[in-house]
Amino acid sequence: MKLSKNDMVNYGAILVIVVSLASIGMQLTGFATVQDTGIVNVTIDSAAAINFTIAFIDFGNGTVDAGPAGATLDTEGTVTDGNWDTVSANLTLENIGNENVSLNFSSDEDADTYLGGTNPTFKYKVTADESGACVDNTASSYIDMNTTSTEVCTTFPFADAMDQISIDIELYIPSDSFTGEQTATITATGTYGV
Amino acid sequence: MDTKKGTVILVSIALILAITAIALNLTSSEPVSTTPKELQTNAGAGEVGIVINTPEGIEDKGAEGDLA
Repeated sequence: MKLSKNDMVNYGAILVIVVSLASIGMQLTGFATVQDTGIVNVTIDSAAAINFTIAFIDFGNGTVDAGPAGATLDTEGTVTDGNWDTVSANLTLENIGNENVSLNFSSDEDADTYLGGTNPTFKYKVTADESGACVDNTASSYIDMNTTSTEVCTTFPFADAMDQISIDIELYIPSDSFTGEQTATITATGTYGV
Repeated sequence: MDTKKGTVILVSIALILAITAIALNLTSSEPVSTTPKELQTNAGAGEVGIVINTPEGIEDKGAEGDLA
């Protein structure tokens, strides 16, 4: 039996139709094989969440010594030219969310409004408690605290092995500073793109 | 003539179905979001407190003023 050119085209078209229908059927019904599957569906929302696990540093009472222009204190145990007790605790910040965030710091006070007097300083330093906790750290040595937001870590990861940083504080209190109780609130802001 | 007409119809149907099958396969690929990223933030606050006493030998003018 000899097939004409027309017949061959027809058979080819029929073959294409059969294959296409099978493919479409699998797409629409999902039945491709006899295998069956069960699906457990869960949706985990992403969330940026950071938390100061140590949220308060108290330098306590003290006075600038008579004579020096001012006293220097920090949270690494330094007290120079003043009689404040040494402080060896720092603020501790943890990423408790499930997203890596970029981290910014700002304060409601700068050195002039917090301490007053002649050339006061209010500085902070960020240290990764766990390796990789603050990528591109711009505050690895003491820098001025500002009332405007400053990015300190381009990435503050959420992974448990690298989600904690420490913030040390250094103050220079001039002898003509404000007196009495002074408090500054430092705000840490974590940001990520959804 | 009728045979040719039938072939044309058959080939047309085959083409339409083939294109539909290919399109369905392509659309079952993972979707890629083209919307711009929205920024989400979370903030925490820490406090630094200190009590600064008046240095020895310096008059507390504020206190003096209160007394006056």
